[in-house]
Amino acid sequence: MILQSEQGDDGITIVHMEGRLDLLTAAEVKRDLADLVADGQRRLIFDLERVSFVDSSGLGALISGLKAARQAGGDLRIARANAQMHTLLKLTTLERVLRPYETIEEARAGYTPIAAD
Amino acid sequence: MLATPRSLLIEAQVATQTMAEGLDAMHHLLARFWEDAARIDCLPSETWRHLFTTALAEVVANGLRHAYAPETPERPLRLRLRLFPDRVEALLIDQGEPYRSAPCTTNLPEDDVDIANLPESGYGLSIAYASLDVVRYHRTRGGYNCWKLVKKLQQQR
Repeated sequence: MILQSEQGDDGITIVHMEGRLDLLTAAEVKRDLADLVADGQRRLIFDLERVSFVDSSGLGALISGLKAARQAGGDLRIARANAQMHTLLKLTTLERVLRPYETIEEARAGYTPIAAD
Repeated sequence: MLATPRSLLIEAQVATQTMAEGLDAMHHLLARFWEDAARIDCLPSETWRHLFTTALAEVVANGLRHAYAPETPERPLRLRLRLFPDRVEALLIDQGEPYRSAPCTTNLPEDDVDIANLPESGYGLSIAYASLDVVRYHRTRGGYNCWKLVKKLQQQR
């Protein structure tokens, strides 16, 4: 698993992941997202372009990150999810809380620009 | 339109030892299974395959995680996939502890979603039940946990 994040001038942090977001990697992703929010990076975009598969543990990590970001007054958005992730979101009806954005730009739109903390 | 297979066409089986091996093996086995199905013009639709794969991964993960104690280094798992004219069947066998009661599941969220109280785990078997036609568990006399999963093919035709 590879997880990288970059915070832009607009205060939005994009988290890139590569590999499977599943039982084996979910705990680490959950911890990393919590660390980012604790560090003041509360406007997150999770880029799923290079994530090949997501299971319920992975979904749980994203929900955990979403909760942490919302509690801090921010948000976590997901972008570039593949067809399997779309199927999972639809099946669990969690697409209502983790709306999948087609592109990073779409996910970024609507975030009020702020200076990086 | 899918071709109509005459009888059992594909059977694949793996045996693994660790949690990571088990999940890797499942994904590799499925990839090979779909390749074989495509070769004989029996590949289910992409959505059907995602539903089946997602459900299978949940049951495999459930078995690897709950059947064995946390410190267990070796978690033997056998997985067999079979394509029939009207369905795909998966059989999972592990040698872990028996499920003493119905496995705990978290219901999938309904209309009103309260994000602050949204569960972060336990969706696995709910996903399997929602995706598949049959999810059946039994403990053999020999001390094996067996999960039989079935998804009918005609639903997506």
